Amino acid sequence: MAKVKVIDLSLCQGCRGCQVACKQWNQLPAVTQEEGLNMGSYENPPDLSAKTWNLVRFHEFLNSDGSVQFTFFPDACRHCPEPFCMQYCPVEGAITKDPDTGAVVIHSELCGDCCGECVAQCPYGIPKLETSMDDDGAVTTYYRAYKCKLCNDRVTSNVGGDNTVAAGQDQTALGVLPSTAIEAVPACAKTCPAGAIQFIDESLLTNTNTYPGTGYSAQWILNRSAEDLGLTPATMADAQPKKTEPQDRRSALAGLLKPLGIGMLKDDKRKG
Amino acid sequence: MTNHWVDMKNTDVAMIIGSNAAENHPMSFKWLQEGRKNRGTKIIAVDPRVTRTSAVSDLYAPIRSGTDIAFVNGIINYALTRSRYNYDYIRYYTNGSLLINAGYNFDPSTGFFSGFSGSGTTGTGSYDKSTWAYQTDEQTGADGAVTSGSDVFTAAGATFSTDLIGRKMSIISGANTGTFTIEGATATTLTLTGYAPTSTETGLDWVLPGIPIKDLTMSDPNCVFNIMKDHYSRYTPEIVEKITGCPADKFLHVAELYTSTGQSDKCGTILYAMGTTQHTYGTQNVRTYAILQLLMGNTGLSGGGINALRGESNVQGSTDMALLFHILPGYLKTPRASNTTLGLDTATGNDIVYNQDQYDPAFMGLTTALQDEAKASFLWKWTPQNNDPQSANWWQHSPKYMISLLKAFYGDAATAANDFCYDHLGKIDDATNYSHMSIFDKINDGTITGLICWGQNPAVGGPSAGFERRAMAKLDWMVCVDLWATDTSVFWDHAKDASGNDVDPADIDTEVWQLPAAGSYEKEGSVVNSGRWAQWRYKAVDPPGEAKDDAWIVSELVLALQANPGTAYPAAITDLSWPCYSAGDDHVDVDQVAMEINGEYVDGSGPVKNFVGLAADGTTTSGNWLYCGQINQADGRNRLKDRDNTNAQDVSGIGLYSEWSWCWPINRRIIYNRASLRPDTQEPWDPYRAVILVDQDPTSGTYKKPIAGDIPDGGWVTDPTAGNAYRHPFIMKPEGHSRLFGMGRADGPLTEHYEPMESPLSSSIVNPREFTPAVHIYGGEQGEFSDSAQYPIIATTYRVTEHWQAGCMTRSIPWLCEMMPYMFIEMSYELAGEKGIVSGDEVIIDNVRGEIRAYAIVTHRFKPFYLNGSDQPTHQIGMPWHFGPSGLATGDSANILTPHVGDCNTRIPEYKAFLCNVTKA
Ligand code: SF4
Ligand code: SF4
Ligand code: SF4
Repeated sequence: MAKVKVIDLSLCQGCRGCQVACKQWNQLPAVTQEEGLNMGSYENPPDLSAKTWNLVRFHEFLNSDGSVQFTFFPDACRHCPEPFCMQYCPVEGAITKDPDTGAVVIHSELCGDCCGECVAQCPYGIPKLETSMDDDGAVTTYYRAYKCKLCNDRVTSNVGGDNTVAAGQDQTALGVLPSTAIEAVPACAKTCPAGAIQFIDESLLTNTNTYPGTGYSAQWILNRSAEDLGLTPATMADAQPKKTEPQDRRSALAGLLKPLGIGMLKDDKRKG
Repeated sequence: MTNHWVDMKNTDVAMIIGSNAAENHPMSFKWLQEGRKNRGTKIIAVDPRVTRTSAVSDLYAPIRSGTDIAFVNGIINYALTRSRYNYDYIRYYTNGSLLINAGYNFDPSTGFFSGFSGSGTTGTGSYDKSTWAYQTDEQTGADGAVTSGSDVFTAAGATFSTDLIGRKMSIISGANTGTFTIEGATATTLTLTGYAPTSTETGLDWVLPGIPIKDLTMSDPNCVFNIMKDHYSRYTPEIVEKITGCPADKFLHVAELYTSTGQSDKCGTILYAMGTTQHTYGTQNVRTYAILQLLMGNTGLSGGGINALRGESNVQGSTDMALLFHILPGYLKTPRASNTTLGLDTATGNDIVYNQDQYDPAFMGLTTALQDEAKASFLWKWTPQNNDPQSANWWQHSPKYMISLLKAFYGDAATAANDFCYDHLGKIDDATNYSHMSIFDKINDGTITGLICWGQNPAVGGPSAGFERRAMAKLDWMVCVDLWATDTSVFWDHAKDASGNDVDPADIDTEVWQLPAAGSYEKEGSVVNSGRWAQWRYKAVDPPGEAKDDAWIVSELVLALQANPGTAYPAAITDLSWPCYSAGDDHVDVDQVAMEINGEYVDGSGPVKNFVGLAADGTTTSGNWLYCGQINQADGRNRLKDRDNTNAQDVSGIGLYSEWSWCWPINRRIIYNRASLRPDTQEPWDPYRAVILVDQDPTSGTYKKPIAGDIPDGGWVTDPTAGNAYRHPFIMKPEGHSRLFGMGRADGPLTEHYEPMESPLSSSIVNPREFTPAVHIYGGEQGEFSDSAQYPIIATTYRVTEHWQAGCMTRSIPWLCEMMPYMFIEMSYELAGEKGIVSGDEVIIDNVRGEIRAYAIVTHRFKPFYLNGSDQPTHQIGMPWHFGPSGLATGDSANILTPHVGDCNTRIPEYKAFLCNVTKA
């Protein structure tokens, strides 16, 4: 039975425990002030990137009665049932979906400086290409894509689950009691203090609010009706797909750049 | 906390005020959300701005910083005028039904309670609290008569009654003096237990010690409940709006929802933190919450209580262990200079009088001079007396705790003959404050020349941080013990003079040592959480480099001092018992420390079971009486290591988890829990949230004994067959009643709104005062305050979830710096519009103490306040106080701007309400 990561946005309190737990489990480096961070905003780093696979987006909204909504959206891969990223990736095996956990995983080492097709096709803007910056601040982009792996390494090796207690070990001393079945979950779900992020069997999904073309990915985020959640329009927009159809051809960008071979692109869109 | 984290799931209404729980205590919402799911818990957030807590609350009410008292007093008035309270709880369990001295009053035309020494709207002074006292039923006479061999005492002028049975009376003249228990009474006679006078006498002086007079009908005008109705009547919704800026309709929503918990089967909780306490009237802020909780009948119940969310993982433990100047471990008092002896040390050197009854024959046999000496002694002074047999008056046992503590401190050197080394303890001057700001005041004037800064970063976290940094430059030496080089340990590298100009480090003579310390995962020991649970933590990794755990550092310091104790008073150091560490050890034996804290029998027969077993004769030790019982006497098990989460003791599913870790006192998870029972039936107020269950006793009908649930407060809920009787549930107060009227505070027995020292208003509106009368104002620049004409904008400081405290830990962690990289201020669109500022602009914030730079976050979450009926906006800004000159994410410190003034009672600094101006950089 495939699993899904469900986020109840009415519970999320914007603490960003999930954002930093993701960096810790995946040992992703921090974005530095030199690379560009927002000033005058809680939201940082400015966007998902090869170094940031989970980003909590903050929005506030002034209602007509003068009250203010402040809502949060932990943005990461939805692990779509029929992922456009996987369907349109030209490299065999570079993107896979694990039937047991539901994880859609990009094997970035197989990208081979290929095309960035997944970036173009994803309805949620999730995969990001690797970049580097030299001392002058010039940015180089490589055609290797990165994104959330649903902690598939963690989940499939049951880290934090019952089998981490070896036979004969004193379970009480470890704080792991034999009567409690502990199931491995992604690092973000493990961390979330509000219980907003749940890792559940697909069959437990209740929301039928689906989006054409992307299967039922949006409900993985909501799992409750939108009205119920008291979300700002901007947070609703964060949760929803930006498009419901795949691009009708392979990305024009990829088509143009691929013949350049090495696939490097100078980009000096450095943020101040 | 009276309750604990898990218990938050049992509440009907949670009011979060003075706290940003979702950000700074994220786990609180795990339990609040469970309450929402299972019982429809409603959450109220009261805060100057919409926070991440407000975002997940049901109801948000804005209040201007520093106006909690006006807001909550308004709720109290709402409850009193609409009878939305728990009547039986108030009259039986609180001092609402007790009578107060007729001389007490509060004068709204001056803003003073009775007894104030000063005058005017800006004068300061102190209170003579003699009228803040109960009326008692004490009787005295000179007409006592006894007959040889008869246990009947007669006094023609008396008005005795059978209500006196069980109380004490004393005959203080003649040949048959003594204190006796009354077992029978008529209007003029008392029958005394075991009394057998050897001669017939008349004209005897006698005393019937008084207890507070109680009016269970609460109709006497001097009863606390009626004094309160009068006092709080001024806090109407309109006045609340004028003072706090919270629109009256919003206030009324909150008042209606919260006072719904006054129904006897409903329960509400108040969660608070430093937004409450860090004011010149911080103690009174907490008092106003406590008063509301008592009126609602919410204290002692599951889902209720007064719950301080502690800002550090072990700050509860550090308070319990007395990391404060005014207390010893277990909240025993620090000796004052006037407490010259422990008890009475008579000429024989071993006859120490601990008995608090001044009519005791042994005491009355002493000379007047020795009686006076006894009354000045530590134990007499700090052990409360009580004459009500229904009141446990738990602090009456403090001599046992103090002497066991001295035995733990000084071991075999402490004997009855030398007052158990009482003289070795430092004495503080009676009227002197020794807290953080006073220390820096004394560093500044040259009195203190050396400083050990242990896990503290005052260069960032101290109030008026610029002043405190400049004071550091006057020190001869400073030792900083921390995980990193802190902003404090390198203060000389970023020093500025009073005008804000850079100072050459070469001109600073302070010698600074940095001792690298181990982090919490690099050492073994216990931490005590906000809910008083003491949990054992194991060491995961070795500390890096030369870093050492705190216990090792302090032990080495002690051994070094013992080797070279100086000449001033060497015995105080050399007599110190230090059994858990020897020179050259790699670490302190922390299990043995746990045993030392618990306490043992001096004769070697093992650990003391709990504090009931501690003795005042030197036969027991205990490093902290509150923790006596953490070692299981039967098997020597350290119960802080218990990890049984089956929750078997829990009778009603409230989540006691009594076998998961251990909590003080004696593993009682909800304190004052006998108030969770109705006074008449001893049934729980709400059977679905029973904290304890008691059994009907077939022989008495009224009194019962505990059969299940939490450990009851006091061992006597109550088995009459063992000779016990009903007792009042608030066992730590001499009168056994919780105090709506609190006579112990320095600044008033009831809560009254006063403005912060720096305020945009010229009076407190409900009274003419500009600020609280009993405040202490330090000299020099510390006594200068920002004027509202020049600095019209209110400012407050707070924390964000991404950084911690003064930031020296989190500003060294790249992942956290990435999320909150820059010092910022939050401001409304209205203020930003006036100042021409947009989000991301660099701005300058200044006041009389200095200026800082930050990036602006312009937000709808701050709104201007409209105060005192004005149509002109008053603006407020807010800023985090985590930033400083060191670490990966550097920025100016908010505390450059905060004043050096503190609470009237505790002297905690005013970090939360001050004035400033903001301009675009
Ligand atoms: S969200 Fe985007 S990256 Fe993730 S599985 Fe769906 S299409 Fe692929
Ligand atoms: S599932 Fe794992 S990789 Fe994905 S966002 Fe959560 S922590 Fe990051
Ligand atoms: S950890 Fe949970 S509550 Fe915190 S931001 Fe992530 S989803 Fe929200």
